[in-house]
Amino acid sequence: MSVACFLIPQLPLQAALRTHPDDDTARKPVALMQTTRGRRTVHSCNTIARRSGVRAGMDRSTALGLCNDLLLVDACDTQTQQALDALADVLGQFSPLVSLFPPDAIVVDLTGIRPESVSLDALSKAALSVGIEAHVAMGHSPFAARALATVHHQTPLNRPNKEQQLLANLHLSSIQLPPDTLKALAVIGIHTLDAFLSLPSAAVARRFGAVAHRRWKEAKGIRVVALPPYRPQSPVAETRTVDDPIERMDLLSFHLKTLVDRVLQRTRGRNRGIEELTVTLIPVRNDPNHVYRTVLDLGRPQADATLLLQLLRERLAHNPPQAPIEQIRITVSRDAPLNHQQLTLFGDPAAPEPIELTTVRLVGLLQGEERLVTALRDDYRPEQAYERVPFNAQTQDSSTFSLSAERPVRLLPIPQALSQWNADALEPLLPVLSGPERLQGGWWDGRPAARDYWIVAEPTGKRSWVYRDHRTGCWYLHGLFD
Amino acid sequence: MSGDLSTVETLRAALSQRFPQARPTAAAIHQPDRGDSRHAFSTGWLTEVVADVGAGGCSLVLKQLASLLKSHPERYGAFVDLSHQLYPPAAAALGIPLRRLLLLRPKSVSLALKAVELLVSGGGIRMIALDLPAGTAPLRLSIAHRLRRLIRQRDVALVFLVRHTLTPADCRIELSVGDTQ
Repeated sequence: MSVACFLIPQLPLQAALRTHPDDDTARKPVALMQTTRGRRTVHSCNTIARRSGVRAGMDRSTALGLCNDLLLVDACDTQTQQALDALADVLGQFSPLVSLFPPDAIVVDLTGIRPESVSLDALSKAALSVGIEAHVAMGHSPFAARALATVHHQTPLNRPNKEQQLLANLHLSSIQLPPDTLKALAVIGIHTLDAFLSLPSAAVARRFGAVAHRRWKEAKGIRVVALPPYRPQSPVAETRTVDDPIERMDLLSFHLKTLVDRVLQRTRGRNRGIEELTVTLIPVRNDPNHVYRTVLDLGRPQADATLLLQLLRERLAHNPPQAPIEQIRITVSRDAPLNHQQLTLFGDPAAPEPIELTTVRLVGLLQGEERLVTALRDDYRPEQAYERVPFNAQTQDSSTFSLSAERPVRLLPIPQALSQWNADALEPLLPVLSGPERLQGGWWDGRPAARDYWIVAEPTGKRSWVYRDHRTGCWYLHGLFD
Repeated sequence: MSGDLSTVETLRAALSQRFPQARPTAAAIHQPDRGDSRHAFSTGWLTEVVADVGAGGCSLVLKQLASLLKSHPERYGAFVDLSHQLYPPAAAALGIPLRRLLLLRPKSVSLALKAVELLVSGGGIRMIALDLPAGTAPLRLSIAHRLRRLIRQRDVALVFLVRHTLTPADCRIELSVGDTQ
């Protein structure tokens, strides 16, 4: 068995910062704040803040007193879970067996995968692509890999002797022992894993407790850490919150690119493509009247970041947000397995794009009008006999359609009153070509209609579709034969 | 246009089928007055159908659209309906598979032209009909040139259904209705 372990140092802090737009956070003092019993205290902080004297447990004012430019971010369990999910999703592209190793690690089973095809560098880059900096190490078991990751040892998979040597010299703080146990072991002069493993099993269980005994057995290889495989529970979503509201399109575009890249990395890791992408832009003070929401219904699974960004930019250019943006949220509202396609040797620059993409562009151009095709409805009222529906390339017309009577190809959106026609007349004033055809219905939906329709010939030779409303006796022009 | 019939005969047949009472005579249909009539409604060509409402222009375009969609089941058609009047059940009765017809109702001519350009560039559409209402200003030559270049590249049939000539088309068909009284 060969596994890679991704240990995420200061996971809650990293989870909070990955939704933060400031890419300079690595060079700034940052503290993660928590609220306990009404007090805001420091949960953890980065190295720069620590250099200024900021420590976990300090209250807000003390921390700010020690470090003026300290950036405070709030701790959030949901964000932490989302960060773990994001990393687990991305790692799916290396192996189908990915497991969460609580509380702050993820293990990827690389058994059977050629060592040279998965480099530690590639694994680290995958983590960085979703905004997480992880310590990566490989080992023959999850326990060994995790222990090595604590000291950030990049052990090549094909050198087991080297791994054993590193593990033997490892400090006991690397194997998740309780602090009290570590102290007790230190008192009797045991600091390394090698020394710890030299203790008899029964003595470890009796003197240092169940947790220490479990770790001892795991280190010996008697007990294997059971890690259930990761199963994505929620749709892929990425969020970004900014301190300075975004008013410029280029800035918005920049943030969208980051989020789209992350979302695509995650869906690729799930071996799926994006079919529908929802982008929500939340304005300053979360004003519900200006929340911008747009849906890209791509029709077929897509995994091309350039294309998605282009579509989003088109959508935003045609229908820009009306207020400065404070938060950007991208959600994959529908995904599907990727349809892999054989590529041509030299590419085909003139290849037409899928019709679904054209319709996505059209929806953007027509400012959100998503219903691009029509479907017939079983209704006697002419204006209700069809409905506009969203385009779906998978839906096909089942059969040919025929009308029971002739209908005009042009139907006026609002029937035009023929005011010069006598309301008492029961027949049209113009020569009748066919009719009357009585159409009535709509009592079931509160829009009743009772009409007699005629096709009449105008003096110019054109034909019109007129009707007499039973309820009012008035005459209307409803359609034109063209 | 397909078959052995000439363009004019095909038009006449379509119109007499659509308007049996109107008795369209030879005088009701002018010869396609520009370009090569055999290429009317062909892909890669810009056809202009000049017809008043009621002269049968819309039915003619829909019939051609139905014919093209029938012969290319993998492609789609589009009807850009600026007058917001096209009645889909009647189009379906003319043989158009509605699920393969994108019906766009833009609010302005410029938006309609942008939509046409987008449709042509996409390449998945076989024929695009643009119904422009009376009073539309003639198109700028640069726009017409751009569209013609695009439809040639993408092999799309583009048809302008207009009340009066608006653009230098590859082929123009004029329809009018005679007095039936």
